[in-house]
Amino acid sequence: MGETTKRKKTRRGITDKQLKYLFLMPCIVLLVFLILYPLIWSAYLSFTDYRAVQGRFRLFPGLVKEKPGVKQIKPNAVGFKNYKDVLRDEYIWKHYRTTGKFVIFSVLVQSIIGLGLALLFNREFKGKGIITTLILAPMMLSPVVVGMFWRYMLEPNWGVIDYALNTFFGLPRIEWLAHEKTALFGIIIADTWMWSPFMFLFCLAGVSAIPKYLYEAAEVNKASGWFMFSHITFPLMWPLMMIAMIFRTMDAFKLFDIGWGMTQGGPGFSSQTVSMLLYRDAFLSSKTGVSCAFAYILLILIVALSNIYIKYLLKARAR
Amino acid sequence: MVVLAVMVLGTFSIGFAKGGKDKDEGPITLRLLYFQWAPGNALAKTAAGYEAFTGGKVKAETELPGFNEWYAKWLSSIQAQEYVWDIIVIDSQWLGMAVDADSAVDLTSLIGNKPFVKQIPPTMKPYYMGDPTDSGKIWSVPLEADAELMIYRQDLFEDPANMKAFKAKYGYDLPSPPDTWYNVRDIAEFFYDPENEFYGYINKYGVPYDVITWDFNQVLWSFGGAFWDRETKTAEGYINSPIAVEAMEFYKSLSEFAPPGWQNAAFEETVQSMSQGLVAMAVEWSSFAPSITDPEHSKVHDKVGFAVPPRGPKAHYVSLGGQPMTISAYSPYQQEAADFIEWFYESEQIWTFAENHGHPAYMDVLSSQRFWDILPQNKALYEALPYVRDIWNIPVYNELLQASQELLNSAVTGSKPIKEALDELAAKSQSILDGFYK
Repeated sequence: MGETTKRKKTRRGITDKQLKYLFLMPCIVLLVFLILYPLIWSAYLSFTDYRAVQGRFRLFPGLVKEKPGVKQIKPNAVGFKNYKDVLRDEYIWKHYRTTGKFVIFSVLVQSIIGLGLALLFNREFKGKGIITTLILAPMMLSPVVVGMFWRYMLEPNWGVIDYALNTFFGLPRIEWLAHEKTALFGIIIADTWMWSPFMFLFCLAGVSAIPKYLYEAAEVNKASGWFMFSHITFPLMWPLMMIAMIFRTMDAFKLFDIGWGMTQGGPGFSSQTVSMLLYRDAFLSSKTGVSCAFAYILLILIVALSNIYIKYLLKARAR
Repeated sequence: MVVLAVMVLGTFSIGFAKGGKDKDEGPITLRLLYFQWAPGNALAKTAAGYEAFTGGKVKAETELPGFNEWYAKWLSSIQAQEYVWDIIVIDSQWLGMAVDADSAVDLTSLIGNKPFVKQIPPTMKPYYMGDPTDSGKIWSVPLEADAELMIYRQDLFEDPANMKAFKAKYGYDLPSPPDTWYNVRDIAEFFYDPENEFYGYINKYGVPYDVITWDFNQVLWSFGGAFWDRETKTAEGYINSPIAVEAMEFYKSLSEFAPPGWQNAAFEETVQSMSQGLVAMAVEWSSFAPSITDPEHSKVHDKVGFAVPPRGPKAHYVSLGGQPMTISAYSPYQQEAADFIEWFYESEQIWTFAENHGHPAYMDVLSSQRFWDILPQNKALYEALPYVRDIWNIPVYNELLQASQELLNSAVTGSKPIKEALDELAAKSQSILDGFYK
């Protein structure tokens, strides 16, 4: 055995263990520099009063010779002040409520539409391939582009949606994005248009994987369609659907591009989600320290929310 | 998002960044940043001639991203303190941030004594060349001069039937253009005909960027109010004063005659409403007006007139827009950039800029018939000069702007009572000002 290993090493010039680490190294380097390092650095900044526009903050100032004109600063440590400020700010909590409303409505509607479409498409029919591709097309577009064109489509004077509702159904102008009560729903509509195909894809995968013999057995026993759905289809596809819902919830919680393209948070701040507020604070107002704390609180919330889902997912699988 | 930004900044902090750039040997390329629109293209066209002028020694290249990317690029460059551009054209309000971050060069000795400075209209000078540090220094020179203008349907205003009907209803002649803000409301009401999808008046009421703040402020000033007192850095008692409440009540009343969706109206909605023939009057920046008189984009290209926005009951002020040029503190070519600016302000170049639909803040150009003949709104821009005024160019501009955009929009859309919204705005603004200045 020892001889074999030695021969292997001689032939390759490297042991199996070394080879394993060599393959892992690019991934580890990427993880450290793109995930771990920013996480640690931003966690550190979240305990300071740092503002990115004030100057360059180097952890080891003497390490690099600065060019003339480069301003160096050392931010003050503020302890948990940024976290306390964010958690106590009623204005920020209003944005959490808006975000929560958005997440619940959009994920729920997208799940229902995705499930419905999956049930419809779980059979063979002419043109299934093309129609499926067309249904999936919206989620391949850039969210900013989707936001921009939905903004124009929902525009009350020259937008196609209000025009169609008025022409074909005689409905008055809704002015989706112009009112506090409807602006968020306008964004939910656009988000649903874009992401229902994602739910559809997962649900379809779940439905397709259900063994046919279960339905055949149910049919032999003269089970109703509803019985088959509620006792076979839904319970068996539920774990996969839940995974899709976890992804969608995490993504919806971070909603930025579509909403920014459509309303930039208005009217007032009625459709402004936490991500939009975070963008304003971090990038427009350059409140870097506070924004890092805000981002961490958001991260903790998303992780907590995902864990609830995962708990249910594990329970569902165990059943 | 934040994590990504921190990553970039952090990377610089541990020393991966070069932290600047040495001068290149051989021909120099000056890099200019502005954004994609008519004055941006005019700058690029003008700057293209610099290489020939210098005999190939210095070339000027202009980068013109979209409007939103323009701000993001500029902000990233000042956050990273890296050399990317030599001359950066910024929105006039950003100057405070640029100076506070030490990213703009002090131009007092480089440019302050050049002859062209005398040509800059005195009412624009305090803003395009204003000093956010209040120490009398020069940090920027104007590139694009801009002001809000009243755009109105001249054909309707001069129609005898309308004139007669208006006089019968309101007891005075239909003023063309409107003379006071109260005239604007009467005229808007007169033309308001929603059943035929025609509306009286539109301006920018929306949350995006700075739109409602600047549109409302010219009304506020003309009613005798102010957003803040620059000297004492006080907002409390100004933006929530009884005059401010009265101005907002009036401003809100104009929205009764606006087309549907006015709550979100920004630049595009205002220009579209006018150019698609939906409204009788609009207030929009002079630099956004070309598409309204462009036959390819506008149904009313030959039916509109341009005028100075009207006076109010107490005063007459017009919001100032426009963008000045700054020289980057990280540029290795600061003298060359100053030379370029001096060249740009020579007669031939300044006219090339104007003829390509730029609006130079240069008195000999602004006051000439030749300039007025280039675009229909140019004369009105010149006439607006005595009334122009700007709000902030201080380092905390963005925080103040965020609060004012949300709360002015909340007041005008009725999501908050006017007094409550303005009180909240005053308190927020004061806290931001106190946080920075005390």
